[in-house]
Amino acid sequence: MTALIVSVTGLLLTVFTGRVARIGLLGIQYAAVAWLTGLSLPLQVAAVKLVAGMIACGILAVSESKQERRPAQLAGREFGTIFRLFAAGLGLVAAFGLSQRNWFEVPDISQEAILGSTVLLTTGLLQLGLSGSAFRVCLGLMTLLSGFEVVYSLIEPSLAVLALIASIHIGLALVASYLILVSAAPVDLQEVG
Amino acid sequence: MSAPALIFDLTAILAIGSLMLRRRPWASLALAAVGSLLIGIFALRAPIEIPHELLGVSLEFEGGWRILGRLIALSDRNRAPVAFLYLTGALFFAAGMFARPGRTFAPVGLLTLGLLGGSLTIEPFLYAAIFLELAAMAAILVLNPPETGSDPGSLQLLVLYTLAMIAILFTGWLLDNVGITSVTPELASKVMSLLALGFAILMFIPPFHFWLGRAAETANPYSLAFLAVVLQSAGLFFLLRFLDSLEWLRSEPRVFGAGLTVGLLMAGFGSLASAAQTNYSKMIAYALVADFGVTLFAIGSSLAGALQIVLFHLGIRVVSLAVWGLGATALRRIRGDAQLIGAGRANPLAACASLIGALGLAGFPVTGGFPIRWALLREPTGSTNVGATIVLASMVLVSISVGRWATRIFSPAQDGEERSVAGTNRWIFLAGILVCLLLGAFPQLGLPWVGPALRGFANLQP
Repeated sequence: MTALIVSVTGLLLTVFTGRVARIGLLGIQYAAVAWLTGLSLPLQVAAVKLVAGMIACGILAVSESKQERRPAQLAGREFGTIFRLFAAGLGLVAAFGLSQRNWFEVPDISQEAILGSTVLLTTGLLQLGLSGSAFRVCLGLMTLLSGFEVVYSLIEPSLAVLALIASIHIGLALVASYLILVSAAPVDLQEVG
Repeated sequence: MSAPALIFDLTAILAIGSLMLRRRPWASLALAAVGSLLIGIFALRAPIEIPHELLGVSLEFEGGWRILGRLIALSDRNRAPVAFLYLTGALFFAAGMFARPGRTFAPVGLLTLGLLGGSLTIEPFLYAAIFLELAAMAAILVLNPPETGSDPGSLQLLVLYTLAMIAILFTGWLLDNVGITSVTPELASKVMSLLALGFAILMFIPPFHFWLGRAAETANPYSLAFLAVVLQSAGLFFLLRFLDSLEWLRSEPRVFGAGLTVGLLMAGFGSLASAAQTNYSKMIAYALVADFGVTLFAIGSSLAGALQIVLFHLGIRVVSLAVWGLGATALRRIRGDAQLIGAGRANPLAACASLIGALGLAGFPVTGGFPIRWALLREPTGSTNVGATIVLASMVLVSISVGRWATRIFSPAQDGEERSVAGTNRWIFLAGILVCLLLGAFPQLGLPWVGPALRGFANLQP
């Protein structure tokens, strides 16, 4: 069930263009990731990921609300909605196929965690490949990193690593916000308005 | 008192201080330069675990600092690399007072140094990958100061470093838990592939160098030079630490063979790409790739004293890049375009400083980049001398590229506009030129840092 939620959020994050909607989807995705991590870690420890994720979403939301609306500028590498939908669909099929076996070769990992992690890694890479805009790239990195964390938390449940990786999520949100606020990042045509 | 805690607390305080002074860039950079210099000297010279007295107060610096169950340790293994980073920072912050690279340069530069210092001191050392990722995030702020436009190269850097972090952390788990040794060849191959990916990114090995060329198109040359040198140096120290710590990896002939081959490919590719550029900063970006290639080639070669010459060259590269960046930034202020035609006539000293720094990267004789190439040419690796030929060709090609740019920079401006720059910063350019030439003529001047650095990599020495 959680893997399904992650698949849907991954698909929609790849396809949607509205920033507010994507921040909301990212929040749901973080909740699902915390749940998947909770399969291998105590729930209160997994909740750290949820808290870090929510802080990251909060930072993105605040910067989005403060952003001035300005004329759109092409990011130089943007694809249409139908293409993104098609690519995300193909990516999900590949992820489902790949997760039929424990391709991470990590012992004692549940099938749901393998599926969730593979889907997140795939959709994260897709988001990185389909856009050059700072917002999308940072969202793609957060998704990719979440996929990695689901597996890595199982093999390295150290509190220090948990805190450091949580700080990376928050750092990515800060970087995206910074680039949005200084208007350094190119903006998707559809993202504005 | 914990020495690492003192270093990182001071770094944080200095970063906050220079951030508060950001509206007075000169003061902000001066604070960062003095602070980095003191921290660098402290990291190199502080008596660790030895009681001593300072102004009548009894002091003992501990080498370790525990945070959330993990150890950050300053020891003979890493104090020279940490000092190297801070001293590099001190040089760039001090010269930055004249290059004026942007308001975020000093505070975020300090933050970057702190994170890279963390990557060198964290135990287990595999977690260095996380600190390097955080440093790449800080790099975005340095390359995209609020007062300038966007730099797509910095985002590419962030993506690449994230992939490197994932590859290296996963490798760490394989090493710790699956029991990789030279007698488990299949697993060892898997680990080496993942490691190769991670380090290829950290060492800017093509095709993972592309962010550098992209960033060179738009970013301030001085900021880019600083980041390229500190990020790549931290990556190189990480690689050396890996080799020093893992006996099975060190004894694997394919590892050094790969270093040799990849280094030569980088030197060849970088010099060819450098010759093809129509943008001055991009030309240097590719010359830097060629220079990194020469370093890797030296590591991969089995020459006696290869590590000494590599560590020496790291220090030389910092000086060459700083002098190049200083001159290039001044030239860009004269002519905004990437062609820089005629800029040298307006400020000949800045042009000379920039070109001599560039020649240092090319390895031109009587500059700091020459000794490493001379050592490799004198004792060619292998029977075919292919390596020596490529290193020589790379030197010649990059030097010719620099010469070609010299003719452009000193040619009359096409629009007839030749703004002369009054004697501002004359002394700093002269000092830069002098240091570059002195280090080329008397390479032994750069040796004092090599001794302490070598102590950190005892297993890599014959």
